Amino acid sequence: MGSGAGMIVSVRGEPRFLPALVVHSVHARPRLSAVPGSPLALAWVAGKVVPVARLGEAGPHLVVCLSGGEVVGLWGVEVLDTGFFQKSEHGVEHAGQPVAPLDVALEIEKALEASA
Amino acid sequence: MKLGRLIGGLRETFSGERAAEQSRGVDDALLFRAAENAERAAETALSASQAAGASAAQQRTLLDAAVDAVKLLFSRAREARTSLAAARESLEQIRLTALNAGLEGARLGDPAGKPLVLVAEDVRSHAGRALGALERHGALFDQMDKDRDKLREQVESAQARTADVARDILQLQAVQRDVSTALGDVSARVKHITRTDPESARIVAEAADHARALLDALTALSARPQNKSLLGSLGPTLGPLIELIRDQYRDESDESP
Repeated sequence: MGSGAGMIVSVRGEPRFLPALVVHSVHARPRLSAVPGSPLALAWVAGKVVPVARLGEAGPHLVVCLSGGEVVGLWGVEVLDTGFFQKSEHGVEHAGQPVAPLDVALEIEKALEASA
Repeated sequence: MKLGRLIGGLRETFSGERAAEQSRGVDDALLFRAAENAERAAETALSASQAAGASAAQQRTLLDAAVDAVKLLFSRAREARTSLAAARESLEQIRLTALNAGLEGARLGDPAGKPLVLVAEDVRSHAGRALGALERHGALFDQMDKDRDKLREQVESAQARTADVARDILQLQAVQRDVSTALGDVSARVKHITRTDPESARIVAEAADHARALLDALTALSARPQNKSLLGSLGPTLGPLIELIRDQYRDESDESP
């Protein structure tokens, strides 16, 4: 089995894998502006306005990803590691443990549903 | 026995019937000396309390300096915390940069991106250790804040107590000045009443002290076994004194009607 390139993030206390091609960049938690009538917030990241979905209660990082051709920020996560990880049956291995991939589109959908 | 008569005469002078009339001059001299001693003691006490007041003032100055030093410590601690926060912020940024570099390396693929991933991991590891050390520094600063608060309380308490002591010493000095003045007045009145000049009073009081000491020594000696030979050995020394006292009493008897 080959290696998976990307990063391991902690979402709601669980490690999940994000492929490098999905992730754009990692940032410190920015100031968020609420969007009236929407569960998403807006953040000013590297000179651009980025919609942000809240995945968890706490986390020091904002991970900017590409989902469905759109740029979206994931807030409430913590990046644990980046690089190459051994692929496994369910995703990759990190620190000897299997780590499932994070479905960004699904997470955004859940974030939208939770606030509906 | 001349010595026996001397001892008897001395006893009579200090405690006998003649004491009332003949030792009045001695009493006056002793009273005068006691008044002078009291006046001197009061002046000494006043000097001591003035020195204590000066020491208290000096202590207060030192405590004021200590309070200033504690305030300076607080100010320095704030500056240190500010620079600590800046260092933490920079390290967090370095860690983020390392994460992004690792991500970039991963995006380049293996083996092209491998070196970048390894360097990023190394940088992240160092930054993590430095952040841990800064956390420990932060905890130390927290403890130092508590210690400084305690120190400030103690120094301020000491400052308040020193102020109380200084106030008490000032009151004491005022009272001692009154005592000195009063004792000076007493001395002047004693001098006026006894009509004794200071030098004569001093000589009379000293003579009375010596006479009492002589009486005590001779009394003790006469109680010893073989006292006659012991007292007799003092004859050459005490002879002139006995003659002087006899002449004195003879003169007084001649003068009396």
